[in-house]
Amino acid sequence: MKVSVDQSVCREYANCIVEAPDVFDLEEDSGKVVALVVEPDPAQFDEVHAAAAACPVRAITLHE
Amino acid sequence: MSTAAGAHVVVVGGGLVAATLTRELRRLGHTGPITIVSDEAEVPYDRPPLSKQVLAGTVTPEETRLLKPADLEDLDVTLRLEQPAAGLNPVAREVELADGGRLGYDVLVVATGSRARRLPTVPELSGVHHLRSLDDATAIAEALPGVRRLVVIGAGFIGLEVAAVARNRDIEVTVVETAARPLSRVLGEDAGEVVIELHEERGVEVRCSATVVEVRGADGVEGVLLDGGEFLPADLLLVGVGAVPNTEWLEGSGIEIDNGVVCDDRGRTSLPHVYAAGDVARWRNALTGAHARAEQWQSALEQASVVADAVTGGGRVWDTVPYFWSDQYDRKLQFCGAAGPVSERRDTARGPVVLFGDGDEQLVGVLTVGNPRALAQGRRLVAAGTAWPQAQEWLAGL
Ligand SMILES: Cc1cc2nc3c(=O)[nH]c(=O)nc-3n(C[C@H](O)[C@H](O)[C@H](O)COP(=O)(O)OP(=O)(O)OC[C@H]3O[C@@H](n4cnc5c(N)ncnc54)[C@H](O)[C@@H]3O)c2cc1C
Ligand code: SF4
Repeated sequence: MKVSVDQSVCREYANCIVEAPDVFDLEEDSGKVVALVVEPDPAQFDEVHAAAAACPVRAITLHE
Repeated sequence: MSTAAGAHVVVVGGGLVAATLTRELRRLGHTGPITIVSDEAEVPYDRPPLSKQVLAGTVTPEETRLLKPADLEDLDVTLRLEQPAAGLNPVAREVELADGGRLGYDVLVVATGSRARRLPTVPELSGVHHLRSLDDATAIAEALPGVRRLVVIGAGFIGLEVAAVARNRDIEVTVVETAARPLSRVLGEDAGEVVIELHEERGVEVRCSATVVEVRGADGVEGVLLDGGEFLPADLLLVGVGAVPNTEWLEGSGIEIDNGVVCDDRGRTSLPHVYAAGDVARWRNALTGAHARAEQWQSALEQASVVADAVTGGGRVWDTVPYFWSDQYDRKLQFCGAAGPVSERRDTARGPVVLFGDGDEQLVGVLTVGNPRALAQGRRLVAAGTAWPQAQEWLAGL
């Protein structure tokens, strides 16, 4: 699985971080989402799915 | 109660639950027909932006759509708009529509959400608004440029968000709240203080322990009279005093209703083949044991996904710590878990953090302002059942 984020869409809800704090974070300056891990571990798949689903603006895309 | 992949799933109510459920059912391999029945004219849309970005003009109504035209095709879902459901016959397994039609189902998901509570003291004058639907938001957005004074009845999240948007436009804003502190039903009294500060710093007047006894106006609203005898002039009045679940159409069906459709931790109702989720439902949370109507975006999303799992034969339960966010001014207010009898506040460099504990010395909830990372950590600590002293240590280190 590969994770990509679209900062131009991100509205800083931070829902993704609440679901998967080890995979997503907000950039200090812009406040926009960054992926800390591009290819998450299979053990993280569930929370990555939850994070992508929890983003109201669908700024997170998963390539499976 | 698992169901064949080809079963006809009918969702009554076309909001967040309907959109999420449809996506999840298809992701999990459900091949049967899916029909969404909604009383609205719009395809399912997202409500949180309505009291925030849509009012501020930074998000258009189209951008709130949860299912874009391409999704409707990809997901192969039938939308029956402007079709209020009027009844349910669980024996014939049919939904009765207001126009007299009937719609058969193999699996029914009740997702009719809730509606803004009306106050008997508030007449339907021009300038009086409630906020639940896209139409409501559009009407308020259109009125705002001509507004000089806004009075908000009820210091709930929606009222406070509208107050923030109006204040950013230099409108004079007064919030009238009957309770001693805002949001006390959700957050308890101490955390209400944090919220008052946020608004008072920006020049909103927050009147707690005050009640509107009369709304005055002839053609349009002119102001409100408080129980203390004071008159507050207003050219827009927003009533934000909570929501009531849309369960009337289920009366007579035999389904158990008690402040919402009563559900277990997988969304099953008292009737076979009938699930409920979202604002209309009162689920049991398997983690906290609480049995409450969540009225939160994240909970509606999670419940829809648990129901999709149940319908496709899975065994998941709803066991996550409930979570809520709100945008007020440039700050993000986030809350997870529950408010407890014990609370402790600390003002970190980013903003205030409030911890809530129960009588057994356990962390049960966290409120943060402008600190999503702390909220994320806090939510994990709540889920892990962290003891109060450890939680206090964590707070001290923030
Ligand atoms: C203005 C506003 C701002 C919000 N902001 C936040 C926020 O910042 N954070 C957060 O966590 N939550 C927020 N929420 C709450 C969140 O939006 C809801 O929890 C969520 O929408 C619930 O989804 P639902 O599908 O259960 O109900 P809804 O989205 O309300 O959908 C229910 C649908 O059913 C339809 N319906 C009702 N009766 C019938 C009938 N008899 N027949 C057919 N259709 C019917 C309704 O018209 C509606 O379309 C907000 C809500 C509002 C109104
Ligand atoms: S949930 Fe979506 S909008 Fe929010 S921070 Fe994450 S990516 Fe951005």
